[in-house]
Amino acid sequence: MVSNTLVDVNKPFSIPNESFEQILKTIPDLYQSLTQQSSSFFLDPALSFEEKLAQVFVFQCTFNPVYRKYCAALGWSVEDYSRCLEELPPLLPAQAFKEAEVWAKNIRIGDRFASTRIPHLASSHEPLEFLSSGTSAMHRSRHRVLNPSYYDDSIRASWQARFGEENWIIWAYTPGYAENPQSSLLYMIDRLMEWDQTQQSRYLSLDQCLPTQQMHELVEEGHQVMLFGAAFGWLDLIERHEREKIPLNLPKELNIMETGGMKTYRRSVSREELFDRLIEGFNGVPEQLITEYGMTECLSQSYTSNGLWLSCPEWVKVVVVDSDDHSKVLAPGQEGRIGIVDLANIYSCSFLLTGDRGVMDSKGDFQVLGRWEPTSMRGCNFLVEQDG
Amino acid sequence: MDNTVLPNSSQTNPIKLSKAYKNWAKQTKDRALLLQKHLIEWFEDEQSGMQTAIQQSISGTNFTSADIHFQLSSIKCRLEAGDLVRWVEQCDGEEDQQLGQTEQNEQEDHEVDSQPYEQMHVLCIHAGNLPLVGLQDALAVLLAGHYYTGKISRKDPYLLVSILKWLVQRGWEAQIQDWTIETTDIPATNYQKVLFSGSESSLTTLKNILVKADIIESQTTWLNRTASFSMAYCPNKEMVKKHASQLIEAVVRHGGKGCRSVGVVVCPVGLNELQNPLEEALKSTLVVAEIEANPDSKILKQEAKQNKLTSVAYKKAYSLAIDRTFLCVGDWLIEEHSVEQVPEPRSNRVVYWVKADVEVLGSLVERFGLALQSIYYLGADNSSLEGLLNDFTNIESIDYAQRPPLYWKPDGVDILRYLCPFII
Repeated sequence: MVSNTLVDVNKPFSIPNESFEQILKTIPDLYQSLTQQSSSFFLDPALSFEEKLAQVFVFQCTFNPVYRKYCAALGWSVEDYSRCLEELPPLLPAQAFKEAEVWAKNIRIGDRFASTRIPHLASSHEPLEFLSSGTSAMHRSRHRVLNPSYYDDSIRASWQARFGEENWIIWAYTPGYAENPQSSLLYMIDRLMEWDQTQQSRYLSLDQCLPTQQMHELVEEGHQVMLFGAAFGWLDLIERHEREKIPLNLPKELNIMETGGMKTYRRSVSREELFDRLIEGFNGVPEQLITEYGMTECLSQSYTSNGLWLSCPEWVKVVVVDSDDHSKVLAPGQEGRIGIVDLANIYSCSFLLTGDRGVMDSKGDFQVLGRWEPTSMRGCNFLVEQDG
Repeated sequence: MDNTVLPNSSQTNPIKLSKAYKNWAKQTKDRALLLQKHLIEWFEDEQSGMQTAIQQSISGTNFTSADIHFQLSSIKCRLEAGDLVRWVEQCDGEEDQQLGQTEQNEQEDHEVDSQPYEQMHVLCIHAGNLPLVGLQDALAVLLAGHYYTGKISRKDPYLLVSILKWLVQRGWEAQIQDWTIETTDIPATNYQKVLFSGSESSLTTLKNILVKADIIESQTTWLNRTASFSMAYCPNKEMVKKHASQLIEAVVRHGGKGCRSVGVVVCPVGLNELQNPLEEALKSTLVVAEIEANPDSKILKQEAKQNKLTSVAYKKAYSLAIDRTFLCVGDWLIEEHSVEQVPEPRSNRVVYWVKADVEVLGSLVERFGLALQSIYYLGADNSSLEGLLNDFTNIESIDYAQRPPLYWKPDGVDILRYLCPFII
């Protein structure tokens, strides 16, 4: 069977007025939130996670052409509100953000643009658009965020869920990000810096060692300080200190955030090895090191609170699924592919299948074990664990 | 240059080198003839154990009966065609040209002639992605006159063992030192080289295990594999129609797992224009394979098949979602990608179709780098590929994709020459 274009995303897709009115009955809270510009729907304390999930599913299955077609091919439709309360809706491979426009686009309700009913869908609205890292020759994920307040709310709430409501000074070290001003990580750091009431947050110079004396002074003044950067950047910085024989004696009260990003690093390093090397390199203790897990395709972040285990905020559900049957959620301890339901992704897709391999524990925390590889690979691969 | 097997490794005199080489070539050709004879006997002698090994493989491995018989038939044909002797002659011919000049001034030098070979101990670690995939390494070691020790793959534990047992019975016991299935049972010998038919990703872990168990030295030389797929170039619609069955054979044989299996097809015509011939060829190939498949195979096979069907449902759904043209028969997918977007194929049973002219081949060769094994052309004419692929030399007819000569070059490396580094 060769597919023919069933629904061209560039052509308007029309929802009959009656159908739309029917849909509204299943998503009253979400619709009210979107039209009245009230606080972000995913933070609504009056609804359970499952209720919010079901409304988001119906909304995205209606307004997101890519997700709608994906669901349809797997036997799901906009009428599956109740089914969502019992089953995990289809997880769209995050790869779709590289290969298609995964957002509400060109939708009509009856003979009128959908934006007349949902203002944020208006093309005149200035959306944010994030790009994943990579060279221009590579295909990069593109995530359009029609309502920036959703991302802002998610960043703040994710942060506060992990670090409380205290003021934080952010010192960011971001080599490699100058080439990608549309990085969602940079946007996030900018927001965190803006919220620092002391206005002492800043980007650190990329060609110098860390100003450790100033860090000691800030900590002694009673400030909460977070060093913020990608893992490969920290490893390079540690090497710089070693090369220049400048000791890295940081205050023990200081926190160091690593944001992953090892894919483009020149060496392959396991999570455990990375963790050990950062602790050793910073002359720190394990409690100082925090890992952030986020991606261009998701507006929410998860943070470690206990070594390598990540906790997600309450509007996010992380699952580990069977790599062949993505609807099959694996039990704690079983390795599989990481799926994320991020309700903050309201205008794109909240139901995502990542390219990462992971494992859950019985408390619902998870670990990222590396990139997911197909179970049936090409070539003369030799897996020691299978063939040792 | 590694001089380990040079008859007189300190010898730099070109005349003596030439003599030494001729000595090597004669001995090796003799070995090739004998090895060829004994291997053909393994196929033909009812007492060789081959039939038992086939039955064990059918019932005890994940290979299909069709793939096992195909592979054996292909190897037998190549043996009967004289591939082993030709392999040696290829080296011989090239060397003769290089040494031709010095031969004019050749003088008698009995010292070199009588010098015995410095035989190496070679450890072959075989992968088992397809039946007898490790045979070529074993044959190269034996042809080169070295000592062979094999780590047999758990996934293919019967066929190669049967051949090795037969060869030992036929007088190869001096060269065939040992074989084992367990890594930890590999005898600790002073291995000078390891032939590892696995990929870079598993190299470090395995190396550490072997060094830690004192089986090899940390400085032992390893040759590992890098290629994981091949490409086909189809110049036009007519050629695809004419050679559809060969193309599909190159795609689906051995479940698409070998590095010689086609993972990317480049063609100036879009997939939607070639739906019928490709779908028909795919269907008929799969139907034949299904009929030939062994119904008594392990339950695991059935479960694996069910999983693959589930997996393909998601892949189809994804292609539909992003409006990608695709062709699906059973659990096989051919997806159309643009030149810019086509990734390195990782999963078997998913093939990427790139609608593009021949000019893009060079850029794809560069992009896929060491992961690419061969480029196949359809029909008899490969002139359109000339001059486009720079140093990439593994350009072959699609007819040989799954029936390669025994001297084919994985990753472009001639294993025999690799084991005999004095052949320049």
